[in-house]
Amino acid sequence: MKHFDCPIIGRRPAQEFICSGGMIAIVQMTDQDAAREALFFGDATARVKREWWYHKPSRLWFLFQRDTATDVVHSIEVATRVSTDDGV
Amino acid sequence: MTAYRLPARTGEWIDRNQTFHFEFEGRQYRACAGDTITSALLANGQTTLGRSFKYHRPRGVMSFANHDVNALLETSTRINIRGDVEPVVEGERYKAVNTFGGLEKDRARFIEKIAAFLPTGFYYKTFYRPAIAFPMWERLIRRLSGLGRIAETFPTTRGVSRRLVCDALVVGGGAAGLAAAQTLLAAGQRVVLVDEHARLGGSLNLESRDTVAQAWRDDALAQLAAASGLTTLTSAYAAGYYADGTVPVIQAERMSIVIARTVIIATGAMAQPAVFHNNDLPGVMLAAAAQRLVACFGVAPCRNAVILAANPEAYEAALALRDAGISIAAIADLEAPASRGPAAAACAEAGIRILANTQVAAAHASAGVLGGVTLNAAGAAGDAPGQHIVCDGLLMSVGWAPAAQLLAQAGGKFEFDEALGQLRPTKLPATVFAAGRVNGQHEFEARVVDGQAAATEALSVLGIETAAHARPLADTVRRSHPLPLVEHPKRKNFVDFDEDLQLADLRTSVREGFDGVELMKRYTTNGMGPSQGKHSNVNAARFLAGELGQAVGAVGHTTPRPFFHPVPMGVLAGPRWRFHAETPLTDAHNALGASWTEVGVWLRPRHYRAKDANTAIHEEYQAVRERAGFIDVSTLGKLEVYGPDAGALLELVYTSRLSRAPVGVTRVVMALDQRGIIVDDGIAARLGTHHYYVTAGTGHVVATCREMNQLAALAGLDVTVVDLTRHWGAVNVAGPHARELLQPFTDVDLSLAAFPFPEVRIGQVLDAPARIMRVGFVGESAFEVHLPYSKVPALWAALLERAPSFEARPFGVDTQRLLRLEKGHMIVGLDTDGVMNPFETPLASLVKMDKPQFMGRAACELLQQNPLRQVAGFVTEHNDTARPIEECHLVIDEGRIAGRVTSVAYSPTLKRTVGIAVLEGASMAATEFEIRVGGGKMVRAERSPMPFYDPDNLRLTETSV
Amino acid sequence: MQAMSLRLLKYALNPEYAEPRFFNTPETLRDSYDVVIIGGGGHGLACAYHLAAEHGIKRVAVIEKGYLGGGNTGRNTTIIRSNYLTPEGVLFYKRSVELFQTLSDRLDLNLFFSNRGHFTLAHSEATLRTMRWRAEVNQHYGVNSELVSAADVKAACPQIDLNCGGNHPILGALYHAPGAIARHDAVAWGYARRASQMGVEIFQHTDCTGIEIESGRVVAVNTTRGRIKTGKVVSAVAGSTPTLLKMAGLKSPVDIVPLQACVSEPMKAWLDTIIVSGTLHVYVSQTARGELVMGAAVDPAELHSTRSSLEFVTSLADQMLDLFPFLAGVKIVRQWGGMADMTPDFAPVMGKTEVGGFYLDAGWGTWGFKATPVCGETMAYTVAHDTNHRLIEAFGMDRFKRLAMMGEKGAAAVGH
Repeated sequence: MKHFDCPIIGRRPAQEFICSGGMIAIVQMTDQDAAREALFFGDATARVKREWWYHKPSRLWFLFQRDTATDVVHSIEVATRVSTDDGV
Repeated sequence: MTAYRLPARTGEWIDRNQTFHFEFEGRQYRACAGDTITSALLANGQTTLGRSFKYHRPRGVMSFANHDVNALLETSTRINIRGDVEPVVEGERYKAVNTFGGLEKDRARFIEKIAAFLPTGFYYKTFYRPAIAFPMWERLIRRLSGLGRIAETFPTTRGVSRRLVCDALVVGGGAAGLAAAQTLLAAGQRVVLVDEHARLGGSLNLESRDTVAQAWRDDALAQLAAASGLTTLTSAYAAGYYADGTVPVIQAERMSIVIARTVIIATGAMAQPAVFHNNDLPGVMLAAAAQRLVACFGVAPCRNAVILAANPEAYEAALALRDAGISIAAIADLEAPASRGPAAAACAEAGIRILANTQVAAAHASAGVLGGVTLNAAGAAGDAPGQHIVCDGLLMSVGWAPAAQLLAQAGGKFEFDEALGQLRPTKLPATVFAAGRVNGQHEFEARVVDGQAAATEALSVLGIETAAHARPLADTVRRSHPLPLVEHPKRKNFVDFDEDLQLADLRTSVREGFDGVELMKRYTTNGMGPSQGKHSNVNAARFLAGELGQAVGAVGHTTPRPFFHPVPMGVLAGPRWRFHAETPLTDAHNALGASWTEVGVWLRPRHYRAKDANTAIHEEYQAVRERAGFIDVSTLGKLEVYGPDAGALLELVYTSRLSRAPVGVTRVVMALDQRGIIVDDGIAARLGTHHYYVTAGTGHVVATCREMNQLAALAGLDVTVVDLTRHWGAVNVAGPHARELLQPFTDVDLSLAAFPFPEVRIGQVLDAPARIMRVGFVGESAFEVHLPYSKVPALWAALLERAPSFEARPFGVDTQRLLRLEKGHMIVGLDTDGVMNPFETPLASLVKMDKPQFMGRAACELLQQNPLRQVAGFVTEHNDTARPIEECHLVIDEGRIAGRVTSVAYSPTLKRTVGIAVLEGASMAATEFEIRVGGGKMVRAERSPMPFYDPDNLRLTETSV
Repeated sequence: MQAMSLRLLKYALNPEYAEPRFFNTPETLRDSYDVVIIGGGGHGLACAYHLAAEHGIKRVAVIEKGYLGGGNTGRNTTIIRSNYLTPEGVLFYKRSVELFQTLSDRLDLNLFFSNRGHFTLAHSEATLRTMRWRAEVNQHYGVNSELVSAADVKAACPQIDLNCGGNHPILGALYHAPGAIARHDAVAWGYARRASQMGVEIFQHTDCTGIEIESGRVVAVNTTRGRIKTGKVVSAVAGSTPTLLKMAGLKSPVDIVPLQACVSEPMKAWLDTIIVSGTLHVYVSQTARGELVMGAAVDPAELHSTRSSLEFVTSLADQMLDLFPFLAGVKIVRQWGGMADMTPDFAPVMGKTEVGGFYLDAGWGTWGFKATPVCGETMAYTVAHDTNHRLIEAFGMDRFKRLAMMGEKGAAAVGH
């Protein structure tokens, strides 16, 4: 079982989480054309991505930096105010 | 004592004081406690244990290590039992699998006569012309294929599952594994030690002549038995290595999921067979198999053996077997005995006949089992002249393959060590370590040191510094012959015993272009049988390398995947956990004779007292329309949203405008996904300036809550969202007399003047805090009472008691569906689907595009310009119960699909059939259209505005005209 | 019959006889090819075959970074069907099933195409409704699917537990008579052999390292074996699609997610049909060898890896035992994975792109193997005529720009 070492909740099994990717940031985009483009087209290659992960039991959202080639998680932080400048 | 049982010896695994009977192929045999099925049969002199998969050749013990399935049996309740390792059960009746008429008289043995017509891949070249003949051939193939025969009466037992967390997992309890475990325990670590045999010791249990090693083993075992922090699992195999060091360990009925910070793989090496004509006869086996049978089970696998040697282990085996009273007719060494160390010298001294540079060219049968072998010069053709030696055992010790599957799964990299003649791991992940034979160390002392060294490396990773043990020097004695394969014109020289593959089959594969390890595997099925290549992959790779003129290391290897040994599904599944979510009124509904339906994980009543469904629905409907009814809507999603940014959050989540709603008022809300697809709807009630109570679809509330939390985090909003779905229940009281029915139970003034539609009030209902909302779903004056779970039954009981004075009744989901359909209310997930956006429906008015931000807004900008479909109400005179209009019947326009029906029912009030349909493309604006019902009949429908019933909502709002 | 027996006879009489090589393995690339197909799986090879056989275009190179058919073609659970939800999907897969039915003959290789019938079980009213929808659309286009009762399911598969252990009992099913299975590897080999015979060159263990574009058109492909000049490139690389598209400067709506499967020990034939359950997220069929091949839904997060997970196999076993409780003692031998290129609307992305001469065959998610023949046919046509074949017009990438998603997901849970 994969485990994630998270702030606040500690080391939890992956099955307690839902991955939601990065699309949520689109809701804040002001350029509507760019927003519509981002709805479907992104860089889907294997790389380190910022992803939103939800811990179901505690209802906390976390931001992961995860390598989608190796499945290695480089960092985990609690999701607070997130600026869209960071990119999806 | 049975025919081939040897005198008792120390350390044996059987208990001769406990004997019992069992049956095999209809005959009774005697076994000792501790015997495996194979050892028990061999003790009785039964050397033929099964029939091969394709040619149905007789087969006997080969690896005796679960690296082959020659002995595969079944009973009336279990299939594919591995005789080599399964303990024999008293009174059990075993049969060999896949025979037609029993082991001895297997009718399918005649297939071998036409073997020449069945080369590898023959089935790709035949049976498909004419095409109509293939099903017949396939039926035949299917009848012949398959090993055990299963039946529905087989047991349905699921296993038990548990987790074991530890600092170090040691897989393999041989010299290296025991040494590693000792070192780790001495440093205070929690260790799990796993071994697939019934006892620890690994190959130490076979090295009976090495008294030093034996003493070390006994000492180590005693130490471990007394150690704390150790969990030992025997008759347990590590099935695979998964992410982050998770290793499921399987015992008969139980899976222990080991979660280890470090893993030491000391799984040893698997002895490999040689390939020559008739190398599959009962009596031809690995020398290690013979040693294990003798040392652990007191069974003599033969009386008079020839040993085929290509390493020092062969000579050790010869001496051990000779000590046990088995006569060694000769040792045929593929090379020179001088390179085999002291054991070879000892054999010579003991007068054992040793033939250098000699191979086994062919084995010969006598009464279906091994009767003798022909030896000739190593490297010569299989049918070149040679000498014949009578024997009933041919024991092979020509090479090893490391049991490195878990290392590969962990991402390890390997290199072929030419000196050693085997693959060795060269690069492993930081928390994984290899030790012992699997790591290329075969000498006893070196295995011990290798285990200690691996343990200290693991300790370093665990943050514990100890005196480092250096790894031993590399073993440079070559223990695996580079090409122990002998061609023969009569073939029958098997590489993969599971799949009945001969050398010629591999050659065909290469010639036909399947000349890479993967393609060769897939074309010949080498390594695709139950043994997954344990006894065949190495020889196949060597053969391929030879054919291609490459070094065997360059040829590569196929991917070892879980499981190391197959795992029963019941063990993987573990206990069965399922649940139905229930509202607090389950007992009450049952008391009323409810018919139930599953809605997601919930159970909901469809209707009550079902003499027949239609009558029940009709009566409930009448009550609601004319008097009053009440329905349990506790499954509704309920979200409490409060905080300074509560309004801002809801504006972001929903398309509707909420922030201007006054306190005490409700709004209909709709949620889209980012792509503008409708996903949820509900009612948002403003309870305070910064306090909302929001209902959501039963099936979507969890996702809605999750998304609310996400948006709050994204936008940095100061708001709290609590999911009350399972903490609060709700009852909806509806109908012209709903007010009178409910009023006595609440202090809230329900009068029209005090509480108009669509508002919300907070108050007491019976003795419970409650919220009451005026909602419009079913189209009558209605009050939806939300209150804590524990208080719902009391309210329901009170309503039931008072109901008769109004001729009111409870109603269920079926009735609710009909009522809301008459009002043209869409249900998300029923009248919407995975592509519908709001501009294709009457819900478009809920989308407030002047809001700067909400989920799906960017998509809406484009979608509103070009709807591809339209939701429309329709009416029709069609009311044929034999061919009714049903949901998802298609709208057809001039032979094209132009939409479908999403809801439909006969309206008792309107006395016609009404429904909701989706109209597509050119039919979007149609005022009338045709629906195709059962049997292809076309029905005419007229587009109709909605609501069908009370179009001006007078009853709902209690507006008098 | 005669020709086949003759072949076997030849082999029996002359042990050294082997058939000619199935596919050539030329050492060096030519300077240029008319078409370069990147991806030596079923789709790429089928396209090569159709180009040569139907359009006379034979100067074709197939570039495969691993071994032939070693991608998703060799990893899927081999289910073939056409009981889709959208008209475009139904017509597309219907054509594929038609092609499959005569493919062994056409490729002169037994693909073990076995018509077994296919049940998509419905465990809820909502699913039953969706099955009816699919049946209606299928029947409209002459595809033999119908809504059947739980009793019908039991009659075809007596061993199934209709009660599913007590939760989500089977209420009925969508029965699709043309449902079939086939030997996936053989499909790739068959196309490869016929294409090879017609002059197509197949380069295994050859990686594409770049695509050269000038003035919005493809001019060359760079590989680990050298550079190829060409004006037409087909991308048929499934899980590697994002990487390849990046080389062409294109984006696609494809996300890569692992899809896993597993196989049991062989046992005597008992399951004669194909069973799929959307609610339980499992599907199973029994091969001619007697093994149960089983699969489930895709993994929950993006990952460019074919690794196996313990969660997959324990969850699958748990669900499978609800349908067939007596399988508790049956052992799973092996599990593996592939990389599914998923699209938001469960329909593929095919045809011409914004780059001239660059044609895309992607977005195959969990539905690619069954489309192998029709992909070959339609992509070859598209490449030969530089016009999208009518069967794939609806699958253009631009539908996402218009936010006009295909409706296959309308009801889908597990797409097999």
